[in-house]
Amino acid sequence: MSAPESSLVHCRELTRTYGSGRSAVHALRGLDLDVGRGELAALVGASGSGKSTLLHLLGAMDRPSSGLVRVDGADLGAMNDSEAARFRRERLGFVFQFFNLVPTLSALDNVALPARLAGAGAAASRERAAALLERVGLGGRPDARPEELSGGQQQRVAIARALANEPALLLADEPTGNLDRATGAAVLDLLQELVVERGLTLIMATHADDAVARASRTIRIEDGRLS
Amino acid sequence: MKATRTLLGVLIGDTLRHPLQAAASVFGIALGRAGLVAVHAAGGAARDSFTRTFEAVAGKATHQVLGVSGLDPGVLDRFLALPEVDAVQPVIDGLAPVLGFARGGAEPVPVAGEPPLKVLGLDVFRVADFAPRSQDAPAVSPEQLGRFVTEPGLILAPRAWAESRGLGPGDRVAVVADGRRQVLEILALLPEGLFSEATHDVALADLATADELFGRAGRLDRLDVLATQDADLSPALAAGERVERPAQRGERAGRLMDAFRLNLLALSALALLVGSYLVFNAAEFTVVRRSPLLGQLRCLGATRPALLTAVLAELALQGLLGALLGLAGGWGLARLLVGDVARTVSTLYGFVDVDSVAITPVRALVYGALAVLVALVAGFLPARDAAWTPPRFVGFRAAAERRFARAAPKLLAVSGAAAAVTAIVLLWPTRDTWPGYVAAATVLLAAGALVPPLMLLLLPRLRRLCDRFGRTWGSLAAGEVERSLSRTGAATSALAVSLAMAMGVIAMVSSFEREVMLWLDSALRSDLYISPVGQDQAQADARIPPPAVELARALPGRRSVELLRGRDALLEDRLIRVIGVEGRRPDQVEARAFLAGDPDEAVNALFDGAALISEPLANRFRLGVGDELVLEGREGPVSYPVAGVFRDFAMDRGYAMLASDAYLAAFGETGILNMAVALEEGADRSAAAEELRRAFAAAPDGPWLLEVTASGELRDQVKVAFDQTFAVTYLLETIATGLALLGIAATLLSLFLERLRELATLRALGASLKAIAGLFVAQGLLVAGVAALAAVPVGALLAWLLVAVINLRSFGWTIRLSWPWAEVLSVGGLALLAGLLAALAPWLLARRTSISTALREE
Repeated sequence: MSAPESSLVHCRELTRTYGSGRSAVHALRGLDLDVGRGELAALVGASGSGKSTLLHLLGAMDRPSSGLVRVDGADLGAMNDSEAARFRRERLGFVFQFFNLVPTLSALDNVALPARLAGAGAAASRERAAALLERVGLGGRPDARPEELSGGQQQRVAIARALANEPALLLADEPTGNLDRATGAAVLDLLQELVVERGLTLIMATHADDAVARASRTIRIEDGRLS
Repeated sequence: MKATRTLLGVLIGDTLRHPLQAAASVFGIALGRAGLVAVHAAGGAARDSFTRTFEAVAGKATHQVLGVSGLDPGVLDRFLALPEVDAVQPVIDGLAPVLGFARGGAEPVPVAGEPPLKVLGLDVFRVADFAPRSQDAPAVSPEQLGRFVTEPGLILAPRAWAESRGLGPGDRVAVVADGRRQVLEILALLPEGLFSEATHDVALADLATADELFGRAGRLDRLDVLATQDADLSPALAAGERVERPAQRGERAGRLMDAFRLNLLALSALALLVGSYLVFNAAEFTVVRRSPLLGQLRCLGATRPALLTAVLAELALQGLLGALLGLAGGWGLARLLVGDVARTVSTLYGFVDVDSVAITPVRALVYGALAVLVALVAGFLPARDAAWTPPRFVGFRAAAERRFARAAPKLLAVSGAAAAVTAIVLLWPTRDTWPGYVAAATVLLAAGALVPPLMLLLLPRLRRLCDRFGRTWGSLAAGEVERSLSRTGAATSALAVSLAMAMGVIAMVSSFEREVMLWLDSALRSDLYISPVGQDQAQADARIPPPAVELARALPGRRSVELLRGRDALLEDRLIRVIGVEGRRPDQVEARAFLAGDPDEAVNALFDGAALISEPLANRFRLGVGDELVLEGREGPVSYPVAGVFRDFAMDRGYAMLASDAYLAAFGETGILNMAVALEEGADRSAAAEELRRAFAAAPDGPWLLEVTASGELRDQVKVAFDQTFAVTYLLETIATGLALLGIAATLLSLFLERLRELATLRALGASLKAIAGLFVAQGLLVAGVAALAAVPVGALLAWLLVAVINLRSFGWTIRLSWPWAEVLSVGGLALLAGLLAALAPWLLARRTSISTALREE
C-alpha cells in the first residue's frame, strides 16, 4: 500500500448514509483508503457493496456523511458546488458503465465538451478532441452520433472525453460492464496503455476478472468497508 | 382491444403516481376551453340581449307601423279600417334612467347603477288583444283601472323588478324623462310572465301618462298591429310611414353588432389556438417522462397501434376532465367578462343590461366534444412519438430530432402556401370583412410554420458566433435549443404567434386611440357641452327641453350655441343616423377632419341644403362628394347632395349631417339631443359651466336635469370609455400570452426531464450548478428572444391587417397606423422576463437532483 503522504487519494473514516432512521442505507461505513500516483487499482466487491458510492465520492459528485476524502491534496468534503465542479473539470476524468455520451452531440463534440466547459476556445478544444479521438482509434469518425457507434466505440469516445482536460485521476465505473468480452478486452487494453503513457492514476470499479488481472492493485470492498 | 385496455390501465396507474403532472395536462386543456367558453358565452349573452331589446314587448303583434317622425294618432282609424286587421295597439316606447326610489310617502332616496326603466305607454283597454299570455292579464281592480287612465304619473311595475328592490304598490320611482326629474307611482304589480321576453324591465303606463312623461306632444312611437300573416297593410300607410315585422327590427339591430361579434370570435379562436398548444406541450411532456415505461411496454410486446390507441384514449379522458373544468371555469370567467362586454356593446351600439350568462346543455356538449377533439388533435404527434418509442429508447430522441429537421422543407412549404393564401384573399375583389380575418389567420400560420426552419438556419450561425467569441454556454444553449427543435421550435412558434397578436392588437389600439384623440381635438371646437342626464341609457328619449336652450343662449360671455337633433333613418334597409345641426359656425369646422371636399365649400353647401357624411357612411354605402343621399322623410323620399366626407369615430354605422332647416323640413321636430356653447375668447370655462348649471337648476319650469361638461373633461370621459371598450381585448390578450409563456416553462421542464442524465453527465464533467442555471437561462432567453424578434414584423403586418383591412371594412373608418415602439418593446421585454422565469422551474429541479442519483438511474 502507498504511503499516505504521497497518496493521490486519501480517505479516512469515510461514511456515506442515504436516508435516515430505520430506512437508512449505510453505503460506506468508515472506510480508509490511500491510492498512490500512477497506480492502476481495481475496485471489486459484490453489487451494493459501495463501489459506485466510493467512486462518486472520489469524483466530487457526492458528499460524504462524515470522514475525510482528499484527492490530489484537495479536501472534497469541504468544497462548495462551484469548487467541486471546478475540481471535476480540471483534475478528474470519469468513464461510465453506460458511456453517458450526449446523444445529440457528435463524437468530436462529446470529446471537446470538457474543454469547452473549462472555458477553452471552440477551435482549440476541437483540435485537441480530434487528436484524442485519433489516439483512441476513432480518428475517422469525428461526426458520428453516439447511436451510430457500437458500444465499444462509444466507450472509446467516453475515454477520450475523460482525458480531455489531462486529469490527474481517472475513475471508471464498470467500463466493460456493458460490453462483450472481446470489446471489453480492447477497451481495457486502451485504458492500460493510456495510464502508462500519460502517468495517470486509474481507479476502476469492476466485476471482470480480466480487468482485475491487469490491475497493479486490487481494492476489495465489502459492506461499505475495505476487506 | 383487451391489450389496449390493459395498456390504458397501466398508463392511468402511471398518471395517478404523478398526479401533479396529470393535473398540469388537464389544467392546460381546461384553460384553453375556459377562454373559448367565456368569450362565446359572454359575447353571446350580450348579443342576445341586444337583439332581444328590439324584439321586446312586441307580444302577439304581427306587424309594426313606424313613422319618420312618430305617428299621428289618426293612424289607428286608418289601420282598423282594413279588413285584414284584427286589432291595433298605439305605443309610446321610452327609456327612463332611474334616479331613486321612495317607499311609502317618503322622499325618493337616490340610487346609483340602476339600469333604465322601459316605460311602455299603451291603450290599456287594448292590452288583452296583444298580451303574450292572455291568462296572465294584469290583476287590476276596476277602481285601480279608473285611476290608471285618469291620473297622471301612474305605472304598473314588473313584479320581479319591484320585489327585488323592495318596492310595492304605492311606492314611487324617480326617473329622468324629457330633461326633468319626474316621479312615477306604482299602482300595481304586473304578473310574472307578462312582457318577460324583454331585456329591459318594462313598466306599463297609460298612453297619456307616457306621452306627458316623454314629451311626445301627442305623437305615437309606433302602432302594433294584429293582422293575418299575409295581410297587405300598405293601403293604410301615409307618407313617411312604413310597416315592418317585429323580427325584422331585431335582425337589423343584430346586424349592427356583426363586426363586434366577429372580433369576439377571432379572440376565442386565439384562446383555442393557445389552449391547443398547451395540450400539445402537456402531452409531449408526459411522453418524455414516460419514455422508459413506454420502452418497457414495447419490450413486453405492446404493439404500436395498441399503444397509440391507449395513449389517445387517455388523452380523450384528460380532454373530458379538462372540458368539465373548463366549462365551469369558462362560465365563471364569462360572468366576470360579461359586464365588460355589455359595457362595450352599450358604448358602441346601444344600451344593454346583461347580468346572467347561460350555457345551454347543447352548447356544453359541443364545448366538451371540441375539447376532446382538440386534445386528440393536439396530442396526436406526441402520442405517435409515444407509440413509436423503440424498446431500446437510447438515441430515439436524436432520431426524432433528425426527422424533424428533415421536415423543415415541408414547414417552409406550409409557410409559403399560407403566405400565398394571404395574398390571394387580400386581392379578392370584395369589401367583406372575412378576407381580413382569413389573412390574419394565414399570416399567423405562415409565421408559425416559418419559425422552426428559421431557427434551423439561424441557430448554427449563432452557435458559431458564440464559439468565435468564446461564449461556451451561449454556444451550448444554442446547440441545445437547435437539437431539441421539435419541442423548442413549437414553443417558440406559439410564443411568437401570441406575441405578434399582442403587438398587432396593441399597435391597432394605440393607433386607434391616437386617431380618436386627434379627431376629438378637431371635433370638440366648443367650450361647453350639454346633454341630458342618463343619455347613455335613454338615448333618443333623453332630450334637452327648449327652455334650457334659451337659458344657454342667455349665458353671458357666450359666442354661439350649437344644437344637435338626431334620429335613426333607413338607408338601403340599414340603420344610419341623421343629425341636424343648428348654429354651427364655419370656424368650428376643422379642415383636417375632412377626407373629401373643400371644408369651406362643404360648410357653405351644408347650410344650402347639402349633406355632410361620416367616413363610415361613405365607405359602407360607397358614397362620395357629388353623390346623392336619399332618405325617407315624413313627406316621402328626400335627396341631398353630398358636399363632404368627414372623419368620425363616434358611430360605426355612420351618420349624415344636415343643416337644421333641412332636417326639420324632412323629419319634423324630434327633440334636441345635445347642445354646445362656444365662449368669447378668454372667458372662464369653469365659471361659465357653473353658472349654466345654476341656471338649469333654478329654471322656473325645471329644474332641468342636464349635464354640463367642459371640453377638456369630455375628452377625458371619451378616453375612459375608449379604455373600457378595449378592456376585454386586453384581458383576453393577457390570458393568451400568459398561456404561451406557461408553454415555454413546460417545454424547458420537459427538456430537463428528458436530459436528466445528460445534465448529470455535464455536471460530472465539471459544469457547476451556476453554469447549468446559465444554460437554462440562456435557453429561455433564446426561445423568448427569437419569438420576440419574429413577432415584431408579424405583429406589424397584423396591425396593418387590423387597421387597414379589418377595421376599415368592419367599421368603415380609416386609421393611420402608428407603431408604438415603447409598448412593443415592453411586450418583448416581458417575453424575455418570462423566458428568464421559465428557466426557474428546471433550475430548481436540477438543484434538487444529485449527480450520482441521476447517473445511476436508467
